[in-house]
Amino acid sequence: MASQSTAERYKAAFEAQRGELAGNGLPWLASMRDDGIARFGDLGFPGKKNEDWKYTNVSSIAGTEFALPDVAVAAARRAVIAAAVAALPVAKREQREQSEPSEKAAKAEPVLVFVDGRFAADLCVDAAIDGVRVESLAALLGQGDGAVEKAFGQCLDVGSHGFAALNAAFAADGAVVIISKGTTAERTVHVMHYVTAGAASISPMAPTVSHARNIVVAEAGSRARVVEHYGGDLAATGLTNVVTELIIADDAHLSHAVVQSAPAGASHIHRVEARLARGSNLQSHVVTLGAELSRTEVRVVLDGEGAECTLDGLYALADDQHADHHTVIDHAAPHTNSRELYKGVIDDDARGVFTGRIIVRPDSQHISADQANRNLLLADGAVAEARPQLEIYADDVKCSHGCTVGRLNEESMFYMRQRGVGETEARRLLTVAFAGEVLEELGDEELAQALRKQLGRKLQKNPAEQQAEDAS
Amino acid sequence: MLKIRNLHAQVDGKDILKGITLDVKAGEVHAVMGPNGSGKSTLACVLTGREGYVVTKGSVEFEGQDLLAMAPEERAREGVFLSFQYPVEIPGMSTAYFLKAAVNAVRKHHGLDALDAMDFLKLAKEKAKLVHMDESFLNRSVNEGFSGGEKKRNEIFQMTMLEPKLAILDETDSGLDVDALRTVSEGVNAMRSPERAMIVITHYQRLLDHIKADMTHVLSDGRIVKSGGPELALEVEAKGYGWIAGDSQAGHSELAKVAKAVEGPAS
Repeated sequence: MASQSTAERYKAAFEAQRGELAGNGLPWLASMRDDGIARFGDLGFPGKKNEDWKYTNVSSIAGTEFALPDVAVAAARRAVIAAAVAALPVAKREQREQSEPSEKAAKAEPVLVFVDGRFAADLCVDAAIDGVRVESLAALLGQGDGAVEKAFGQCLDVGSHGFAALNAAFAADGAVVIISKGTTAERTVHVMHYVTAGAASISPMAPTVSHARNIVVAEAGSRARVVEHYGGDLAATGLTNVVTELIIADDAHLSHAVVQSAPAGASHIHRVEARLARGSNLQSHVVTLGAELSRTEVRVVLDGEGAECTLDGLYALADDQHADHHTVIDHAAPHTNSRELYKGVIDDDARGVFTGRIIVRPDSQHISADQANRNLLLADGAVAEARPQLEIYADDVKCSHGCTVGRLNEESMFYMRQRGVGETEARRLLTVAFAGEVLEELGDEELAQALRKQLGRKLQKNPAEQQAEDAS
Repeated sequence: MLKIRNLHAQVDGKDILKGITLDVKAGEVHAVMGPNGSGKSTLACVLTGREGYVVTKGSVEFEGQDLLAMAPEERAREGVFLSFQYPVEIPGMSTAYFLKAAVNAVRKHHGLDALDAMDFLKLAKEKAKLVHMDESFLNRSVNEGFSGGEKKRNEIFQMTMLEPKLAILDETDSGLDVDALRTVSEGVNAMRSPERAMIVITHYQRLLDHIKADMTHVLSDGRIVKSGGPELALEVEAKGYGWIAGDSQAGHSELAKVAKAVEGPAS
């Protein structure tokens, strides 16, 4: 239950903003938004008594009066954000192909850029892919687009917690990717969400909040890969409360990744909800490196026979970071398979929480579900919480799960040092090797390599040494 | 090159080495034999600086430096290499990546430029041939899923890449069939040079059929009880270790002789 003041504060903000939100004139959307703010009034932010949020305290978010992002800031920070977009692993791929300019346009991967939750058309990398629509939600809502009306909110369980309810009330922009029937998209679609620290010259540097909604529709028989990148100004302290809906039709294959490198002082709440129809396949990847406080939920409903999903996750945490990964796989149809591997690397006083819930419905026979969570603790103050939650109501089910929490293997450390590799470097290389398994599953060597380097830098106490390594 | 003086060491508070004195000069190959529990592997661990091995007395000098004061990686960079009895598996790290880090750490220590990926691979492929290893293993995780023979060949391969001054081979023959033993021995023999010394630790004489030692030492209960030429290894093989244990007085006098010899003008 939200305290009266919190609920009222958000209600007042909603009433003040709703006229400005994209799609304001759409009745179906208005009723969803009304429902969202009403649900938030009932639910408030999740508290300690909520079992699903037992290890994650969001009182810092509940207690903050967030400001609305100022659009002028995005314009003022344009050069910095453009550099961040150019630094994405996708940009390198393009540079390599500049020797053949005619090829470049054909091979470039599109990047949709959002700053503080708003579409930034002038920062995007445009590259059309046949059979794939890549647009901003605000634009499509403005046009009253039918495909968006059909997809919007289809997966989201608004009533599950206050963050989802708030997103339902406020969401007005984000990426929409629609892969048309039978299309195989050979290039990856990238989405970049950038959060700014504000700009003192423009408005007070208050923490801001954004509620983006990304929607991916993979029509029947299509194949595509979508990567969401989250980053921002180092000094940003705001809240990103994002929902991604993945609607995967019969026999479609979707690879989806969330790479979260949010600023160290920011909060990141992300909910990925996927619904899989008959014979379809989802490969979900979550890589969490940034944010002071983060919660990433991946909820998958295997809704048609033969649907399959793999959920891979990596969280690398240091300092006082707290990251909560919450996954739910609902085997709602027979002959559905899932495999899940989440790995954590936790240093300093950081805390990693993993919850893996697997539900097998009574009529869902011939199910295979495999779940593993492996944690590597690098410091005495580091903590890993692992909670497998299996709810199995059918009998023809092959289900396994395992959780481990351990430290770096001393034998491996000595082996590396005996070969001349210094202690710090050996620790770093072994940790990257531990994480490597999840990065390889990305199926994108360029992205994996960029993440290995980012992870290496994060573990490196001496940046100069790392630069030498990067250069070699 | 290496001067061990009256070395005493403990593991878990238990005395394992009880006064080892040994001199190894550049170009020499020394065999260290002994029954299980005599302290052979402990000697290797102490020389390479493994955690948990506490030196309580004595000294070790390597190329004029106090070896025991150095961290394991410093010893390695100075040229001390251990071929592990049980090479470690590292899932997720390719052999090439692992070894490139090692080679470049050693090069950096000696003021040399790091090898780039191309030069490294070229060198690695060349050296892999010496130990008859298919170069595909460079892309496999370090020792993961390797057979016993492959692991030992990988150790010798690493030795050829790192070109140490002092190589310590700890039970390199264990778990090898006849062919693998020959391959590994060829790799080791190819590494023999006037600038390089080797300590070959083994329980059995069979490795010494392939790698000819200049000196043989028999270890028992943490002491060198007998030292001699290559013929000593054959004697051990023929008679077992029992006769030496029963002849410990002779062993001690032998030790005294050796100690005297190494303190002579030759050193």
